[in-house]
Amino acid sequence: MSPTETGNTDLQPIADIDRLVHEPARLMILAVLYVVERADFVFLMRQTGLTRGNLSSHMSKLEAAGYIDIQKEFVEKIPRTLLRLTDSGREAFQAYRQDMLQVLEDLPDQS
Amino acid sequence: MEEIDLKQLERNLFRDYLQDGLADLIVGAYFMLIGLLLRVGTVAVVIALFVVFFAPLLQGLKKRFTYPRTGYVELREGDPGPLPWFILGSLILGLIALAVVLIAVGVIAQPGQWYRWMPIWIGIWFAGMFLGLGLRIGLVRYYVVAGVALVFGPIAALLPQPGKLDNIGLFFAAVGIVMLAGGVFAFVRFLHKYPLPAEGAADVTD
Repeated sequence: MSPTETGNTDLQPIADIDRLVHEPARLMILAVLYVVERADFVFLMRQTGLTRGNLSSHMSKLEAAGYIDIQKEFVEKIPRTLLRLTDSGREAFQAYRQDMLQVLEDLPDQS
Repeated sequence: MEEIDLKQLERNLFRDYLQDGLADLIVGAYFMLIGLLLRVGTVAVVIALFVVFFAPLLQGLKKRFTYPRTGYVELREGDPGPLPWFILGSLILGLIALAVVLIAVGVIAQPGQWYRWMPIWIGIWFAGMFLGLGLRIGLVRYYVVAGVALVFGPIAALLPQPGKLDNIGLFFAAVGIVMLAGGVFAFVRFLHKYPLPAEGAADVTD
């Protein structure tokens, strides 16, 4: 049974979480891009602590989903990759935050 | 799992943006220039210089020193926190303090002397502005500038000066020196903390 076909409707909000956003590395990238206008590859690498390969791979997935826009340019013959959150990425991130808050708020307090 | 604190993240990124000290270097040098040029009465030229050259100069220096080390970022117009209230509050508080001093020393009866006491107002205003900035992003050097502005306002007003605007010039020069020193310290620390990456390793995504 797929996670979207849970029998218990109480668990449906968890099944509806956007998995593309939920992955921690991608969530870090989206969170940084959410609060800036745009940033380059080096800046994101420093902020997130991801390796080049890891960051590059997650960027590709986010770009394929239409969540980020990637532009390549040369500054004094040095390549620079600029990333910006798209409107769809901003909406996805906001929806994810709302969904997670809802899911966590609905859990009973154990203390 | 805790909620993602985006406001804190935004403030931290703004702090990172200022950690190279370059903005302080330029503003400090500009204040010192005001302090010196006020003596020859060319305020309008100094203000025009700042408006025209601040952004391109800062971007030029960041492009040369900051972006190759910590990467390029364009900040969004985010939540300014309590900063506008600090700026407005200290502006009003400074005006009240100036009015009290002017009445106390009887300067209103001698309107030609009011400008001597202006550093009190500017000092309180600057103190509020830099205190608000310090509280917003948590950089200690802005608290120091706020303290210097607050203390040096009355000192500059009380020191006997020969020229008409010399007290204001003295105040700007003092705050400028402190900002410049803070900027140099931050910049040197930044260069040591973030050495240039090896050539060719700056941006590899393919």
